[in-house]
Amino acid sequence: MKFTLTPDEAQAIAEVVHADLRKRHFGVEIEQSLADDPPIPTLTAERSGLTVAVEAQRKPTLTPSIREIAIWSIRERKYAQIYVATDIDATLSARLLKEFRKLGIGLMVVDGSDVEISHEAQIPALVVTPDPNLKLGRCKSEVQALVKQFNEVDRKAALREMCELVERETDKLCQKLAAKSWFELEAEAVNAMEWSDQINVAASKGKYTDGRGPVIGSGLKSDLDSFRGARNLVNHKVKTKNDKKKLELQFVERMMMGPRLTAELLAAQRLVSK
Amino acid sequence: MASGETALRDIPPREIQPNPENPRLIFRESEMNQLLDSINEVGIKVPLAVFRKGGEYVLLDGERRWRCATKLSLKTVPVLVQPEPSRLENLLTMFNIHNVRSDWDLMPMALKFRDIREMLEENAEDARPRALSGLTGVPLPTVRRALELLDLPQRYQDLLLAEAEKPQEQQKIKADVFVEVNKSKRVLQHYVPEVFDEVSEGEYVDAMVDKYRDGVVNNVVRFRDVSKIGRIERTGGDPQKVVPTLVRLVKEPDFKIETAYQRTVESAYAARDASSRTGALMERLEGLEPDLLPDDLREELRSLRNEIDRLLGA
Repeated sequence: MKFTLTPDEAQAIAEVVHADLRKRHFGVEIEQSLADDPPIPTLTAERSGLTVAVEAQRKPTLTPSIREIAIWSIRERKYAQIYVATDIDATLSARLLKEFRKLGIGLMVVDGSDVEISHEAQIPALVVTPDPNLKLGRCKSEVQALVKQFNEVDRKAALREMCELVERETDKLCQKLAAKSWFELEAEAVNAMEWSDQINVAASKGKYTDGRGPVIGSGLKSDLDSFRGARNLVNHKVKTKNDKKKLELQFVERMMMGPRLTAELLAAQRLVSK
Repeated sequence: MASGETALRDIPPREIQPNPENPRLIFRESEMNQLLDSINEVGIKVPLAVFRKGGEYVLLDGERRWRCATKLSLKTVPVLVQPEPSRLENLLTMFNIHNVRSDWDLMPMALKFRDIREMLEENAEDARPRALSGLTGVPLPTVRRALELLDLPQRYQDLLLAEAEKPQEQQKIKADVFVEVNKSKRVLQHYVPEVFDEVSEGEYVDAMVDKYRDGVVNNVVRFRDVSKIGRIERTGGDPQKVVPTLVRLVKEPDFKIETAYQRTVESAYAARDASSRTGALMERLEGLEPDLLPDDLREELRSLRNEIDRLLGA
């Protein structure tokens, strides 16, 4: 195996990881760039649209090259995982682990001829980062917790809860519209409505009293309708890796909508409360 | 160096090739990381030295910087384009530029020395080890050790070249093994040539290398004990007495050098050592005043006297 850019101490580690990736049916290349800009990792592997870049290191370090690869991958929202692979006897500080985690870099540990994923790398394409300028008011901490849960723990559960949050805020908006007499409808009638009906009436000019217009425009209505479908996604079954990738990307797309929709519903509630 | 102009320019790292005359360069992780940090922060401040060959550039100096620039996907690196050197000039430049010669594997270095030696001989120039050392800047003992490898059978040279391709930590057998085995062989040839009436020199080298590979010999310096067995006459012993043991050492794969040493010369060398130390101790004792002896020394001397009495049967 010919390494030119990999230090001698790290080559044995790289060879074991190379063999392991091949065994897992990845197409593996040695010291090839992921694109024109980012630095070159030790190994680049690909399977079913997932790219895995591995930097073999005898002594784990956040080198400029691995940092730049990770940042590039985040910036480009790549469907890729970046790993540092090291030997089981290597020592690394908690600080370094924290830095790896912050950049979504995973850790592979080589023990003899075995490779263990000690810390799973993030896939930037599947990471949700809401616009920090969104005005989330009382929902801020709840949204942040759900985003964290989505990125780090359980995507399905987080998306399901995000749906519930947006549904709850739609309901609160409709309750306020009824209570402040923006709606011609009574609060009881609003209470009895499904989420889809609440979206429809809040977006329908005919349901408002004279002089009041819909607080949900056509764009927001369309997004809320689309977001409602996210619940079904959670139970969607997939057969192939490519289908799984598509579904995961849809999860992200919907999850990204959640904080924005929440912010817009809160803005509408504030407007009605004035 | 041939005459010609030197030009400074920026070129993409992918247009540069490493110098084929550069023996395998060991690139350590810590060193690479430091250089990556520095280049990432301030770029390459010292241009690489290259020469143009065909449609590409060949490195004369700066392989580490070139590797880091490639790793970091730098668009261009600054280079000084120099005139293409002759092969001898190129080889000598490789030796002189790289001040990390200790990182070079001995066998590839030996082959480069052979080429240099041949080219010097063609030009009727001095090609002895001292001259090679002067021209390349490699210390004379290293030149000698490297040249010694050129006497090895081709299969061992091939083996060492294959090992040199691996990272150092994966190399199973190193040039030092052959250097030490060869040294011990020369001692036996000189002091107990009768050994080679029973076994061939090739058999001797093969047997010693096999012992090392199989772990029967676990340290390269252990071969020096074979030399000590061969030089038994220095202890006043009879060289003929060690011949059967040395032959057995070659013929029996599991027969250890330590065992051969213990059974032949260990006590003789111990006696010789004791004798020289006794002389030195006597000199020291003569310089001491009885009244000024510290208590602990007095006690140790009493113990020594008891041990001497035991040995002499007093």
